[in-house]
Amino acid sequence: MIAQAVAKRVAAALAGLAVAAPIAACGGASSSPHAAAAPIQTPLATSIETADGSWATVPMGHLNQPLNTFWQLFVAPPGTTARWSNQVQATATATNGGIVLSSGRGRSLIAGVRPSQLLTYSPLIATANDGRSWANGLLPEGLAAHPNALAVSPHGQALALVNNRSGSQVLASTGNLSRWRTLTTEHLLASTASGRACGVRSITAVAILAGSPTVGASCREPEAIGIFAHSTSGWHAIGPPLPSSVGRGTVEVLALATRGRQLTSLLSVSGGGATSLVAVWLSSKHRWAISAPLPMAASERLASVGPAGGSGLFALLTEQSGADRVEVIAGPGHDWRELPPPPPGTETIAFRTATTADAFAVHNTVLTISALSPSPHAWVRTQVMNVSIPFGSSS
Amino acid sequence: MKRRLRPSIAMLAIPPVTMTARLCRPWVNRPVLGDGDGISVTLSSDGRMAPLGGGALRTGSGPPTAAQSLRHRGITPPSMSGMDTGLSATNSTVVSAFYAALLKEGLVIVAIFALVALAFQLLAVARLRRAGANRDEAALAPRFSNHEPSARRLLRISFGLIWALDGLLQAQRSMPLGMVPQVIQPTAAESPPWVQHLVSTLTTAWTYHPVAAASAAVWIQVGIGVWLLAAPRGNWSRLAGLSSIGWGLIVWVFGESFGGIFTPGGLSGLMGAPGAALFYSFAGVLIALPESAWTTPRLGRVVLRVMGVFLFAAAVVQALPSQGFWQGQPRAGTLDGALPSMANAMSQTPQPHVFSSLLSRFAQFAGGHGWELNLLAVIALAAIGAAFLVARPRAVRVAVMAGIVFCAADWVLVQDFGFFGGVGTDPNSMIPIALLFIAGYVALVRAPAASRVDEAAMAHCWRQRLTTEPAYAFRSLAALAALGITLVGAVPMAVAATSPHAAAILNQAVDGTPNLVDAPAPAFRLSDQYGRTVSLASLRGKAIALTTLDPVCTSDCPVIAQEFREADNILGPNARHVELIAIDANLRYITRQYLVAFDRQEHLDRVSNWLYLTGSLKQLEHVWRAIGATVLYESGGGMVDHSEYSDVIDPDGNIRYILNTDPGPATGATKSSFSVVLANALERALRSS
Repeated sequence: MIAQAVAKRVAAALAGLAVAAPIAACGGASSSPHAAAAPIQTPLATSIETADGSWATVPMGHLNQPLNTFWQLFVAPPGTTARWSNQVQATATATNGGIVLSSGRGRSLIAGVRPSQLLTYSPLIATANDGRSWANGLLPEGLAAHPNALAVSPHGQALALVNNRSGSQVLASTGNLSRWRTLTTEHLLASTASGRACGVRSITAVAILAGSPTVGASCREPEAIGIFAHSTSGWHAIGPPLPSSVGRGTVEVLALATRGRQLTSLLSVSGGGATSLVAVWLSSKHRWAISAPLPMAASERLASVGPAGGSGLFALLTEQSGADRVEVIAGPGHDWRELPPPPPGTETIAFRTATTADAFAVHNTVLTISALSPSPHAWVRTQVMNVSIPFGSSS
Repeated sequence: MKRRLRPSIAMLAIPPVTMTARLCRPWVNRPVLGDGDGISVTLSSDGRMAPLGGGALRTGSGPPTAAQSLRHRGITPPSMSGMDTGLSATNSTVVSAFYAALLKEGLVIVAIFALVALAFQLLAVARLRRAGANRDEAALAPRFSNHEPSARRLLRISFGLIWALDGLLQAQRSMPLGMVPQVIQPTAAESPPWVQHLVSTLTTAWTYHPVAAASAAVWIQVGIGVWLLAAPRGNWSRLAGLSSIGWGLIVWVFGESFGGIFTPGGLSGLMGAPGAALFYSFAGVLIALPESAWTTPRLGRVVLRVMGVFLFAAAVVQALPSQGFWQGQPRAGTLDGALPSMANAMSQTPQPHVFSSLLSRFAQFAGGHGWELNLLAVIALAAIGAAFLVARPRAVRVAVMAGIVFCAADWVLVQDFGFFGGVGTDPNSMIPIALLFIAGYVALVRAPAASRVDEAAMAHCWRQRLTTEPAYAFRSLAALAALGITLVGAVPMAVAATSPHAAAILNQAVDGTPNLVDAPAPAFRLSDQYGRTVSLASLRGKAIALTTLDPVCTSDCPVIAQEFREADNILGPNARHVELIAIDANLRYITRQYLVAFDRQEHLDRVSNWLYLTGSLKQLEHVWRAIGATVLYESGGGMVDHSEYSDVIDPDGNIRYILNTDPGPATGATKSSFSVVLANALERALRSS
């Protein structure tokens, strides 16, 4: 009798498991890492380091009115205490659409103005002396709204990510910033074997890695990292496999930068309603290093990404409540570390060295620049600029 | 809540007239160059402009300075292309032109009346001569042996007065530019797309020709009103009724978007549904009936029953829970509390304080007693409607009294008289509704005896009757005068509407009139977008429109380029004698590649007589100075600032006109208008050499 009772209990338990398992599986499926997530809009506000100084671009004016938001272009010569000056006048056009920056030896900075309103193409300007003189170029289409939509190699190769009615395209130029040819389009890239494996949704960044055009993309396929390099045999995915410790979900390339044969990239991994940022590095020995994930709160928005000295990256995250944070990762093998909360209204950070940084806070027409002081570990105001914004001039 | 207003009907003359008017030149599009603000200037040796005979240039319409050319317009481009000029409804240039047009047309009408009066006198003389010659006295007898039926007279006179009032309301200063965006567009915007499409075909004509449309609206409606008043009997009077039907229906469709019956929550009779114009047409039907129809109570019963059906249906709609009339306090985004919302909205309309405070108090009361008020309205409408349906004289008499009180209350407290605010065009629907059921009651209880028509009089032709029947002569001539009034308004609008281009007055409202100039154009020598050298001398023999454009401009310059392109189309065969030239106006982007990119962007690469010139910065600065253009860097990320004007140069190389090219609101109408002005200036320059 006891054996019968035990058998009945075991059978009941097994029956319960048989019922519960599918239910658990269904419930689990609802939180699958493969649940689609909206791609993150990579903000244009950013900074770059060049041989001749630091550059930053931020929006100013009435930021809730597109035609009264004007992007500015600031430069500071090398030196941790050098003051910033505004060079936006060199663009000689309305900057309501934003400014895209890229650096390359020989031309220390190339800036492209994103078109707005009735303008459909992007004028380019380039300087090798901190903006004392400028050369011009022209993109026949409008630059895409990504901070890494322009890339220039030390040898004069240039890539541009542009948008037109057909979608996004990558244009290439050799030495002349006014003559461009189509290198690839998102549709062409998506039709390659590598592109199909990724499920290319859109191209998000361009770079030149050891002379090879390289693009970053947003992938539909979970855990696929959309970093592709071009060679004579076509486009190949070169991204690392995403380790499970990083998380599961769809991956988007938010930033792409190269230094010689080294590549640095910031990815977003979105799945199950959660998003985290992951930094990846490709060394000159073709080895990948992947950082620990940096989780983003559901209410957080990515406000700026950019270099943080050497192979480092920073991410400026803002909350609707106004509690912003700056996370920095110095390079492979390092962890994310949080800097002191930036001043309110910070749009981007410029790292002059790996340990010195300036925060650009914007309030209408006033730009407040604060330097990160080592002691106390806080942001200290160093410069205030009142920018004469031409409100109404774009209407 | 929108006003149930019956807008103007100026464009409605188009359909029957445009087929013939297409053969006419659109003379109304010709700008009056040289009138008003134009003055003659010379170019001094340093390239500056100065008036002939000294003095200072009037900056109101002289070449704009860099400061004047700054794009500081506070005008927001309209959201529905072609449905708005983007100009303020009280723009002084357009208002002045409107009243000038009314005055001119008024003088024509006075002349018509003078002719009519003369004709009447001549006919009276002829009649006296006949009488003196002892002709057949029977020929002087009137056609009708009794008076006009009272109900018919009530309708004819009251609606005649209402039409005339509506015409006078159309003379408000905001009508030319405010009619479409403030009255027609809001109603159409809430209607289905097919209604919007229907309405936009004619509102585009109004937007393009606001002065002609608004003045036509005045005279057509005044004309119909005079016609109804002046022609009491006979075929002329019935024709007046027909015109009332026609115009009323067209207003109802195109001006009122079918009375708003297709809009959500658009069925409340208290708020004007199904549109006042429909009742005007109904009155027209009754007036157009032969007088014999009024000789029995039957017509009165029919009228009362029609009104009864309408009022009963209004009661049903008012009672529907989905309409939201039972609620008191309005909730945002819903129709709940529609009555207090409507009253509150009406109280905001500019009007005498006594009325606005009355409406505010009523809105507060309605907000707290919405259920009770709606119950009262439903019961009243149903009871009155039921009494009209029964059509028994005693019941109808009581219902008429109650109906008058109800209509008056609604007219004051909900419809706010209908005509306040600067673009009110009529007293809304309650007055016509009341008049119709009153007329129905009068027709029910006071049916006149049948008129015995004089057969002998009927046998005479109209020529004889003119000289023998004073009453016939008067009403015929009065009707002709009234018809003349409507045609004075309708014909210019019909002619204007045949042109696909907007009236020049719009551009004048934005940029002022072109300046008259008589000075040699400064020489220049630059390279065009194809790398060819171009000089002023090489273009001798052609008229030239010369301007400055920034190839990386994001707003004005692409618009100006399109306006130049359109002007080239307007010129037609004359375009081969014209060269359209732009000079690069950017301090940095001055190489050919930018001009080519701009041309491709604006499809100017297909325009054979378009030249975009550039050179070295030094060369450009020299030319800018010579032509008086200013080009400056803008701070803070703005576009390069440059002058916005165009020189029109004749084939002999003399500047004839200077046009301000600031696009202003850059709507379809203002762009088209500038193109017309530029094309006309080029044609005059061609003819002047």
